[in-house]
Amino acid sequence: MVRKALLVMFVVVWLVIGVLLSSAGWSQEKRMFEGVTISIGVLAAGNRGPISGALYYWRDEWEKQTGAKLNIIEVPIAQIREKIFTDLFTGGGTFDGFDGPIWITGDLLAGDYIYDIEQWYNDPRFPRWNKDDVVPGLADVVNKWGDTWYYAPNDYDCHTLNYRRDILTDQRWQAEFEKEKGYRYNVPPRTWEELADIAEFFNGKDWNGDGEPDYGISMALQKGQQAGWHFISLASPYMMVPSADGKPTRYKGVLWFDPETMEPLINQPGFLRALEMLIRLYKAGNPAQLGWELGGAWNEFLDGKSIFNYGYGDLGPLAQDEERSKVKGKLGCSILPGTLEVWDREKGEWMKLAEPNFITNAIGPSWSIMIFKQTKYPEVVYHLAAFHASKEISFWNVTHGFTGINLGQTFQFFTDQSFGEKKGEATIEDWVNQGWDKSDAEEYVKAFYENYTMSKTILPQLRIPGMQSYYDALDDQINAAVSGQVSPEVALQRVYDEWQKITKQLGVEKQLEYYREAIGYKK
Amino acid sequence: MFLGLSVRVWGMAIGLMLLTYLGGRFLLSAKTKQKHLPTFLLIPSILAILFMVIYPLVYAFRLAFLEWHGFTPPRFVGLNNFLNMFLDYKFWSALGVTMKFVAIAVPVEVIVGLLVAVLLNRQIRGKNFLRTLITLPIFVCPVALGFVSLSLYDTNGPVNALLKIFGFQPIAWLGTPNTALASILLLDIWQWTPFCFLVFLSGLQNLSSEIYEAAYLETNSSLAIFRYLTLPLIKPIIATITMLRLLETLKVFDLPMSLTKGGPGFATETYSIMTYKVGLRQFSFGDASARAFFFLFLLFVIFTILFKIGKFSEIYE
Repeated sequence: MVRKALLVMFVVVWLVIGVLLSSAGWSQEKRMFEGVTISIGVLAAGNRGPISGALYYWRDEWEKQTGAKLNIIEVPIAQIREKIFTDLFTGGGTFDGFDGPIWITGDLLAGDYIYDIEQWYNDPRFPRWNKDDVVPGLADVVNKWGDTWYYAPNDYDCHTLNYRRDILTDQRWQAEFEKEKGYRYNVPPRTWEELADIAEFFNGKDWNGDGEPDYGISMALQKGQQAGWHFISLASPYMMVPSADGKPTRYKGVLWFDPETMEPLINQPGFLRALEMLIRLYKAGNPAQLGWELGGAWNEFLDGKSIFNYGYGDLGPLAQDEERSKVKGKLGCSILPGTLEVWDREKGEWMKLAEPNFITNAIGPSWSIMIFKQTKYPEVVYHLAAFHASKEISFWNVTHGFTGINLGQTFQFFTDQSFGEKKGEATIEDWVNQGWDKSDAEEYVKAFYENYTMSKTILPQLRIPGMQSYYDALDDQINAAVSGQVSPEVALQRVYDEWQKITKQLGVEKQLEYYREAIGYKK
Repeated sequence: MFLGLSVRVWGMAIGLMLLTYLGGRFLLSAKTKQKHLPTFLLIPSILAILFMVIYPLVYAFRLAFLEWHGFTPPRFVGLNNFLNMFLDYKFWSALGVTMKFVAIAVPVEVIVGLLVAVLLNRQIRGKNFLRTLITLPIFVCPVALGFVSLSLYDTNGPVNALLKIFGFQPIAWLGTPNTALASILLLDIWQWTPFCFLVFLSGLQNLSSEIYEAAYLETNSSLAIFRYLTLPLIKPIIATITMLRLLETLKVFDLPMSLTKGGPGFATETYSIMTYKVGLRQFSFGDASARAFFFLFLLFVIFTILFKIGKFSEIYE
């Protein structure tokens, strides 16, 4: 009797375990990367912060699809380059890949540290994304090096202009400005000169009605941070003579170096005028700007105390956070202003223009997933990159501000916005549903669209080897010139000398080759 | 490459230490063991020093004569790194900023620390509470202090709010060259004066009360007693604390790095920040190594001069 009861119990237990195991997925087919763990480095910003936020948000879903485990390693922004290269130089193997800034691409290629992604692009095992979906011209300066793709689409950074739409469109202020300056300003301003006039006009006035004087502009000019990039963005229309098809030639559509000789162009009159403009703008804002990182400059704008701010697209999403922002629903965004004169190096004179010289801006880290050659699992890292590049995920990422991922694929734009034959697929509801103010969202997307379509000439990020040395030399001197420690002429000549020295150290011929490939220059 | 090599050398060092230990433990006879035991016991330490101190030092010194950026093969450049360093205006600027920092911070910290110690060495009410309160800043991590102070010095921060109450205009503390350095100095002094105070206080408390009782029979002037009795007695402590603070301020990094990154311009870029940037931001390892060794040499010269002028060797005898 007891034996019979035991037997029944055994069968019942066996059946129960079987049911439990199958419901827990033990009987499922083995997934593609079952049992593999990859470690991906990313900007330290937490699970709701820029760039890292998207990795955290989609981690479970990606792990479920692949069976792999994703170990996210956060690295503070100031240590990213240092950590990556220390790991790569020593063969430490900490990172299989990195959701990193594309400006280190030259350094990575110089050391042969990363895989290109061409071998996996058409492989049906991986999530599908489309090379043609990237906004025309953008892939050349972000995802590709020469003709080869190294990164799947993820984030696309650029500098755009943010302004107080409510104040600038106020007729009372418009009339006062006209009385003082003798002309009526455009909203948004179309040239840097016009922007400076407006910033100076509003600086020191209590235009927000809080009883205290407010400012014209807020910029992140702290040393070692963004001063150099702000300057380069401002300088581009003064220096880049537009080329007919957008492709760089020796004298057109180039900014950093002469693509025939690798001679720095930084001491040219166009840069000098731009630096004088930066100093003028600095004086139309809070003197504390020289001590501000990005957050400081954003806070002042979000606090409703400055008319202008220019920089990365993060400000739009931040403006929607009503706990932090007083400017939700008051935001204006556009392409950066242009100039009515551009320095023509070929002729050695200023070229006058009937319309402002706008430049497509592609300055910024444009965080992209890099696949290191030291990894044992390059395919798994590629899968992650392709997953984030795919339409559904990528679209979700750009409409959710906390991800810090900005627009750069055509389908992310509105249906009435097009890039040649490619049309946008988004509607305003896609944004409003995420908590965006309708007009802010329209302005925000419009600014990116203007940036990518109003000019064929692209200002690329400097991606060549030794980029950090070049950048530090520039950043140091821009900061010194703005703070009045050296004259603009001396500052730019010093940058020129240092850039020459760095290029010489790294090898002129090699650097020239890298530079040409980085900007897509063909002789 | 180079660092990979050092990993192998590390492995060898640890292996050698293990072998030495195991060899001594199991292979030697009792008599030999007894005779050579002290030597055997010293070998692991010598090896550790050799590989953990001497080897990296030699390695870094060798690096000072190379041009190496990590992603390109190293190239021997002789004394070029040193020559370039002397021709670099940023080198002189950083040296100047560091010296200015030292020249202000060290005397203020030592003098104020000493005066507060003398004051709180007396029988005054609440001295224990005051002593505890004064020593608190020492326990704050400098980097944390830097980041907290960012909001302290903010345009809308508490310091400017205080100024506004008294009718002054807000100041961009970290936004102009002069105020930026002064702001950092102020924090350094706030944090390290208590350390000087603490050491001086313990020194003062060790002085015999009988000497003071005898001195008071001669004079009623506290100033004279301080000048002719206290100061000579605590001279070794003054020397020690001055050297310690000198060494620390010469290497100052955390506060300016977290507050200003060395800006505006070059106003707060100290020697350590400059060397860090050259080495770990720009990956000019040879150049950074040359700068680090020059600084080591400079410290050696400064301390040698101090020992000669301050007759420190006599003090410590």
